[in-house]
Amino acid sequence: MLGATTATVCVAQTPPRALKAAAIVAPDGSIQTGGKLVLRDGVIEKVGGDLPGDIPVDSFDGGVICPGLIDSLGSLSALGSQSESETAIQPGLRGGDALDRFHPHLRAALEAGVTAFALGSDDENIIGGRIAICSTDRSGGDLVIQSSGPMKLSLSPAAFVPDRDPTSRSGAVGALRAALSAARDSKSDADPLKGLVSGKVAVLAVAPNGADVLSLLQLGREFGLKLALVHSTDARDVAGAVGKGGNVIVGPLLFESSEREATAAAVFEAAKVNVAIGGGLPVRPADSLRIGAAVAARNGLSPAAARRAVTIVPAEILGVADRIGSIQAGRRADLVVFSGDPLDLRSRVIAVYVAGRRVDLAQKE
Amino acid sequence: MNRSDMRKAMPPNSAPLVVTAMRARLPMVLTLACLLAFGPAIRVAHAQELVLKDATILVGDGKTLDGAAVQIRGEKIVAVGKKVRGGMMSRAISLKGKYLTPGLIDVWGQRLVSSLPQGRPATAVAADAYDEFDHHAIDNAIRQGITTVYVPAPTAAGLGGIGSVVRLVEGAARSEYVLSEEAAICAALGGMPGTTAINRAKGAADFRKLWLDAKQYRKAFEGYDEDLKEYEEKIKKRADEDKGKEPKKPEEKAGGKTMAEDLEPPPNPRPPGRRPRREPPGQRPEPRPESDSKEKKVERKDDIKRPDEPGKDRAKDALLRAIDGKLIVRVQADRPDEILNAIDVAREFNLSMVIEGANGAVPVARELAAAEIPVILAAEPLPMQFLGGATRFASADAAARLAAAGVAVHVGSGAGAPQSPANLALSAARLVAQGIPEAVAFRMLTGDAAKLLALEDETGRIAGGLSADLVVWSHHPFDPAARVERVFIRGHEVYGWSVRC
Repeated sequence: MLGATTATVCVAQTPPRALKAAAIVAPDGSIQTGGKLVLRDGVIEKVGGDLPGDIPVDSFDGGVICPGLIDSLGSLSALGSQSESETAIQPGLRGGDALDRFHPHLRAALEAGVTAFALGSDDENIIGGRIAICSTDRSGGDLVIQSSGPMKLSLSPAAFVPDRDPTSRSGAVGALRAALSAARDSKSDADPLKGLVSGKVAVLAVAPNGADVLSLLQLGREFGLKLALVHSTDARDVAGAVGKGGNVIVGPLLFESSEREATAAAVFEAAKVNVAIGGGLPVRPADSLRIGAAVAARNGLSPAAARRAVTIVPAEILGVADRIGSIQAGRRADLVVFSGDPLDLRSRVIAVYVAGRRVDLAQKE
Repeated sequence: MNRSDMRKAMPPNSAPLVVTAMRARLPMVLTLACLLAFGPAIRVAHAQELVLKDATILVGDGKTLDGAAVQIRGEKIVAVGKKVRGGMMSRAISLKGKYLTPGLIDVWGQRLVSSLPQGRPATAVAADAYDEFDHHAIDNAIRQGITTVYVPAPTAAGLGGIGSVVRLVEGAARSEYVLSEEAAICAALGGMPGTTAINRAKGAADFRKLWLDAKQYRKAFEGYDEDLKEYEEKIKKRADEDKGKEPKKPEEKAGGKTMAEDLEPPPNPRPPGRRPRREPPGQRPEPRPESDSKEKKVERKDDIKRPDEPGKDRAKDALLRAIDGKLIVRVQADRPDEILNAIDVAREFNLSMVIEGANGAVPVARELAAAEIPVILAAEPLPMQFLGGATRFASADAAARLAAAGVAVHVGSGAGAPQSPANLALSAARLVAQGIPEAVAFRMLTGDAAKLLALEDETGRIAGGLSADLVVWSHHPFDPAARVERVFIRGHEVYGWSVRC
């Protein structure tokens, strides 16, 4: 299930380490003073308590240890276009196949504290295949942490290309419904959409308009989908419909984001929806996740939710929360040490750890 | 309810009556007399003296004052300090636990105006393009604590119009919202993305030619003035001579025309080349008596010709003001070579210059520092992705690297989605992570910004005598939890719990 047997061989060679800092970002997003961690075999062995005397300790006075940031939106390192232009429905694609393991953007993202990202088709395919969750550094073995993440869906106008089906929104929703019906009625497990209708495979759907959100929620109810939505602008109108326990990715947010976008996260939080903030790398700057969290916090998102929005919530939406996204025993040791609160844009990155190995940030091109 | 509350509650005119009602009869007349004598003064003092106290004050020049107060009267700040108290009739607001800062200044507010199409005459003034009724845009800016904006008259390439500085007071009269009508000449090098190298080179050459032409234009006018003086002297001399020797025909004229040729009266009694509007009546050489005019006309046609006035060119006049140091030149340039071209022009014509955009400034930081040319970066950071053209030379930590090289760095909203100013406080906070000290980063939005716009005696700091442009924050403006709570422009509260839009 973890699918990292090859990785374990490399990871086991990383020597154990302890970390000591002024504070830690807890899984609930709050900042708790007194940060002590023990890292062993690439995972977090222990949080808090006394540090064993036999392992080296990295001390960060005044530092705050945060889980490595996770970008759930974007196309980091992808080679070329990430959508198929001939056919809009491509459930068999795998996002990890577009990964360029040597792309310099990976390093740039890592230095900004981004240790994992989602890689899937962009918004031009109605059904775009499976999203891969990848690391920005190979300390943990291969860059791909999870090759079969959620299925990517899109109702973005970018998908309505003339010369191919569908060319309209109703066509798109109709096509989706037809595909999901076929999968539900199909007896064979070979149908790539079979996992969706059984709820085993999560769905990540891009819904630019409030109307798209409602359509997808409707489909979700009809077919029992485990749904997460990408939506910002009409948050006020649809937050209630998404409802408690729903999952939404907002953003990417910029300094110049409109009030509607910037307040979306707060509106969803008020409706008890789980909110993630997307980074949109590399079309956005490397610290886009932190900028997004800061802008959302300025516009009403609670600070704890803002910190969760770039760490544990994207991990949950992408189905890898058992491995990354929070500082808990057993999780992969992907960590960033900031000089202060990660939400505070004045804080800078002091250290980055991937799978328990400290990355040498001083190494410039 | 005390007396000052009562006075606040009642219109100023009735103050004497209120007091009268409370006094005994005998001193009543005396009191009335005093009040009538000092009434106006009371009315003025009553009108808006405000004390904001107990705040942590970020002065705008890098200093912080804890537990201090600001006294405001009318539109101005009167005093700042820990011991400041208001007068008897002042209104006091406690800002305990809050931060008080000058209103933030956006030194590159391109989003509030639209670009000039290329080829338009470069004399448009940005204040004319600024919409003082744009509630949405103004509100967005005020909510971030921005109170003053430099609006450019931008162009894609070449010479633009003239930028202005405005206050964000909605719907006010022009004299109230325009702080500086002509703040800078706008220009751009490099043109649209995708411009080829040859076109960029031509653009640079054309830019330099603009200034050369302006100097030529001045020379032409100077030459004209000299010629005109000479001409008028000659005319005067002629007139004096003619007075003494009438109606003799002067011999010195070249060509020696005879009276015979005078028999054809010229169609227009005025000599050629005269433009009436140029010459106010008092300065006409002399009223030409009809009898002499024909003679004199012939003679003038021959050798004393009135010089042709060069055409007035307002764009060149603006350029000349820049050459004379009365107007700053703002050049939008991104590529390092374009920035160097701009620096060369600044040197050659002794211009006071500022570079906007400056995405590729880091490779030429030394040249910028040596030329003492400040740089304004856009608040919105660039993408990681290579977009071609200007962003090739960009660096994520450009601000810190430029500052380290000695370049004066500023940050403004820059180009982007119309009417949505970028969150300046957050983008300045981000610069702190890059290595710029916090006090310097905050000055970029306040005191240093005012200096850049030559308005340091008007706004940008919390100091006596300056305009009461103030913002109350719940936390330090760079703190992630900070919210703007109140905004004052010229002493009037334009945003706040009592003035919710």
